[in-house]
Amino acid sequence: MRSLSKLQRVAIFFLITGILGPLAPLTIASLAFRWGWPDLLPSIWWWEKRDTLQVPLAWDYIFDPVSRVVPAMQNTILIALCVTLLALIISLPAAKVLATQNFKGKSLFELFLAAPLIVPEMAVSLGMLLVFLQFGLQGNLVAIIIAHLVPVIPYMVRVLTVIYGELDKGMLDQAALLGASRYQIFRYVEFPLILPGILAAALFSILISTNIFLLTFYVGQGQVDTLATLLFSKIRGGGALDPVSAGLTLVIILPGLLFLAFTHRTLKEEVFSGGLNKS
Amino acid sequence: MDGLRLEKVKTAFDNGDEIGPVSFYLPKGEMMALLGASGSGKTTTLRMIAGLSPLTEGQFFFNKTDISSLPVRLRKVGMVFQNFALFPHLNVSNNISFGLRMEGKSTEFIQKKLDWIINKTHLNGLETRFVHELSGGQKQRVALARTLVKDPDILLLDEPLSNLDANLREEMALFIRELQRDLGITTLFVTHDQEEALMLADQVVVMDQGNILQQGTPVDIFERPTSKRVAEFMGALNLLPGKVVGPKTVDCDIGAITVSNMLLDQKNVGDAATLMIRPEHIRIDTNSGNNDIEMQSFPAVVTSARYQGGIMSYRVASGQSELSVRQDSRVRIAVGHDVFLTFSPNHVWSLPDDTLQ
Repeated sequence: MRSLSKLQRVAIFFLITGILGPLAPLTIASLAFRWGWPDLLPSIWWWEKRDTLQVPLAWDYIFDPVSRVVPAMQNTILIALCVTLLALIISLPAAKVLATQNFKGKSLFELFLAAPLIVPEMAVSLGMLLVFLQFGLQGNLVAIIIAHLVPVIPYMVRVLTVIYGELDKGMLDQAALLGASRYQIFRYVEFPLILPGILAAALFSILISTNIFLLTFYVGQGQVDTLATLLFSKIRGGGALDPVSAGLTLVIILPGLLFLAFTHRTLKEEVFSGGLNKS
Repeated sequence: MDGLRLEKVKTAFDNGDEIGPVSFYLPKGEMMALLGASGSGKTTTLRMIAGLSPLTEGQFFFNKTDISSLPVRLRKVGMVFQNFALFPHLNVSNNISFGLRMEGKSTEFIQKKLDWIINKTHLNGLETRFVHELSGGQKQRVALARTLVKDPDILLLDEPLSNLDANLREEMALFIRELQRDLGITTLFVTHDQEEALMLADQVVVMDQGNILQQGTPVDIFERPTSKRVAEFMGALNLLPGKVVGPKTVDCDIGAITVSNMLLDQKNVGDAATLMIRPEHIRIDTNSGNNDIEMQSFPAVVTSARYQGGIMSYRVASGQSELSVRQDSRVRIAVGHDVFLTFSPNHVWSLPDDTLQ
């Protein structure tokens, strides 16, 4: 293999620092008991005080039922998965039509689709809560899942429209000519070809859903804990980065990371077998 | 009348443009070329037969059965696309067996057919390769195998040689021709290249702007075009306008030319006529040493001479006209020489009247 040039090395160094850099102080903070200025590292670590204090500290607190982090984690993952699945079911046919067909008012429709991204989240959240209250649909998971679909679907339709735009329609015609039924065409040709796009869209959706605070908080009425609401309630007091907030921030990265690890193989195999539409 | 018969089929695009009406008959087991420039409607005609472009009018038959209303997957029509449309997520043998697997054939049956077609298309050893690991010629053969393994009644090929390197074309053309003869499959292919059409086809259909201009054997199309468009499309560079002055005689710019084709018999003295002489059928010589009573000679001057391997390509001026001449390069005549043009009355073709506009 060719060795990297100096410029490439520098670029990679900054890239890695940029991504991992912010995580390093977070990790250290989550393990600290006292970390004051100007110390480079904590003067007292969490495990040094672990046995002497009665209340659970740092990571002990995070995993203690009192903190409600574990159920919040479960909620977050459950919401993200449901949102992703529903958004896929809604967005796939929409994206296919947008990518392959022309109809009157298409550009207007596309603008409308982007509306949730343009309108401030605060307005969307309050408006949605008012509507949900009419139906008594607040303070539960279903309400939150529906609310999350609003910002997720526009992103997803966009990603999938690009994927469908790149799909060679000749592949589907060819499958029909070879005797495949409509279901078989989808199952054995269309789906495998757009799978990488679906996974990318799903990753987007999971990342967005796990990060939404305002919508979750309003529509959930503070009744449903997610990692985002816990984190916000934790840091509302002041700017201080206590070990628990730092730990929570690390935990919130987890769902997306897990999904990426899970789908990594599929994405990689796709690249090795020639990627999307190389024929 | 076994074979494929199209009866006034028409289709329309979203923008309102129409193709057709197209009618032709392709006898069973023969190979036909649809020849035309891009936009002439030849690929659309293939797509109509395949069922990918819906008919707005007309119908077509295979062995007297109307197949124009059948769904795509039940037509027994195989089509190889210009870009081959091989499935990138499947390896060679799974690409080829796709159609059989979709039909739910047994594993033994599929394996037997797979072995047969892989042998026929010389793909042995490539079974586990993926599409991006294949050369252009190999992709072409996989696409052919994938279609032929299903024993279609009709094989459609869209520009089968256009995606291949120049040195591969002739080899692939011969391969396709042999395979087609061997399997006896009724084949229709689309091309914009007249040489390709002449080399491969039993029958040629020339299309222009959604309509058929002429159908015939390669010799018909090449030597006896029925319109100026066809003549030009087949690379006939020498079209001479003139006036009929007597039986079988047309007065052109270069002199009075004797013509032996029948179409001229229908004309009267004084009528306008257009004559076609193919560049290959004219001989030029520095002396008029021509004892053949059948031949006719006219004086001319060489204005350009290009060496093209075994062939010399000349432009010669005679009167107000310029003509192209192609002949053996063993004798080379330099620019500026006075020469005599010689050709036989049998090689002069008078184009029909309706094409003079």
